[in-house]
Amino acid sequence: VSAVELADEFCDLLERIGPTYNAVATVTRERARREAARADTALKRGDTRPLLGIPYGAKDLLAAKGAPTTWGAPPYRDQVFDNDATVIALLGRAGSVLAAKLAMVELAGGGGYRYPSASLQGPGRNPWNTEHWSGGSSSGSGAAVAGGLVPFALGSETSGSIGTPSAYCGVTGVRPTYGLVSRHGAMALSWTLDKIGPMARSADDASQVLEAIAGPDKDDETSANRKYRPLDGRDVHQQVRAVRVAFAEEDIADHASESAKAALENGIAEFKRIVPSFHRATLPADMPFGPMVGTVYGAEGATIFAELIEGERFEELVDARQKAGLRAALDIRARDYLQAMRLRVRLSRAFDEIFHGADVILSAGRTITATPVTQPLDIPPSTASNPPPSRRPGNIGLIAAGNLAGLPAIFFPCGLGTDGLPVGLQLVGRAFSEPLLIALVSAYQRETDHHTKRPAT
Amino acid sequence: VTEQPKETPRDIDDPELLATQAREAIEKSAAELRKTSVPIATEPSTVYRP
Repeated sequence: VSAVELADEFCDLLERIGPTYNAVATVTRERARREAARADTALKRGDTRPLLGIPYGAKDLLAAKGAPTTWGAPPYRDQVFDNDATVIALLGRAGSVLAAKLAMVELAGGGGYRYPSASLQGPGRNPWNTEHWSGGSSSGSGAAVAGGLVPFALGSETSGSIGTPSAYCGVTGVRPTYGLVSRHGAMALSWTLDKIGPMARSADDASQVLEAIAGPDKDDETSANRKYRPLDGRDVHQQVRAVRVAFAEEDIADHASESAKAALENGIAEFKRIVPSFHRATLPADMPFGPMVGTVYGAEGATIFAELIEGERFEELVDARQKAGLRAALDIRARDYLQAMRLRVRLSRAFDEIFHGADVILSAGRTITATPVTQPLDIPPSTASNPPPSRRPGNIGLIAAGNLAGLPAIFFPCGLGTDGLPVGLQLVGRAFSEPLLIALVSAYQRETDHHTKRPAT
Repeated sequence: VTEQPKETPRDIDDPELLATQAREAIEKSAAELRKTSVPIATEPSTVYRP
């Protein structure tokens, strides 16, 4: 099959099945055919780059020249940029084929939305059960990969937006270290938290994508002077076996839902067979991760979108709670934002201490399976980053804490819940430890088949 | 006999109610942040790179 035929095949799928999941913002067929034709020429020359001719989708907060880039929000439905985001340009250079812009929660959900329907495309529907949510804010990226509409996708995370859809949809997602992947050409929600990363069917696939998109970028002031290279294959096995895992059993014992618990426990047991050195370590119990991260992205996001919030088109946003949250966030005080930023420093030191005795932290990706699309997301009000006091906190705030500290994470499926929906784990490591995180999950996926499971279509 | 509610419960998506809740949430977060100690010499993290 030629790259052009493959591109057409995936564009057909995206057009035909995409609306079932509300996963697609725009199918970029013309661009895909152009890029695929170039890939075919290169393939004929004997070019063997791994992503050559492979179609993919990009979250609709990434600029792609000439295509609508809506940020999932009605006020920006007609927005078109005349340049590619750096990650899109880099994937083009690697020979990949942009087949679609993928749906997302409006403005990446920075105001705190109540319903999965908070998107220009409607609620992200989960390919495993379309009455359930695909997660957010990279809703379309999770659904499109899980539903086989694209081999891989780009998502972004401010706090949980790669992790949640990866866990809910049963795909492997990587949240890179802050600064490893350029954000030039991406919608900003939070200058100090935003990251862009791959969502794919396996750690090995995600590794190929990360290798293509990671690296310094003169157009992004926050870009680190680092690249990503996978661990050398000759001694990976030994390195993986020697890894020290920090784990808190209450993450699952106290917090997992009835439907998710058995699959999470099984996943932990499987992981332990691959990496046997487990010991207990927990994040500081006195740090308010939820208020910290909410204050940071609230203040930064409201500043970024102040003109929208105070303008005529603001009411076009879909979600009433999101609108209320964005308006209120304009009044977050400087002292509180700065206190949250100071606490991030303290949090980073706490992570350093954990990483003296461990190489990675293992926890549930999400402790629940995907919720129904009609269920308000803030009811019940307890969340992973704000657990009720009756339960031991363990590392249940790891998504918020890991994002605050700018640390990398990988989310990967570990089975299905009793409701038939995917369940997954997460690993968090030191800054720029993506090679180790990906090698660990690659080793797990060589010994298990959860990542190969597909929803019935 | 099914007891009837004495008054209609307020719509949870009422914009005024949401606005109040959003402001309260910010105040609650602020209170949590302020009661969490941090050494006085700690400077906030910054992305500024001269």
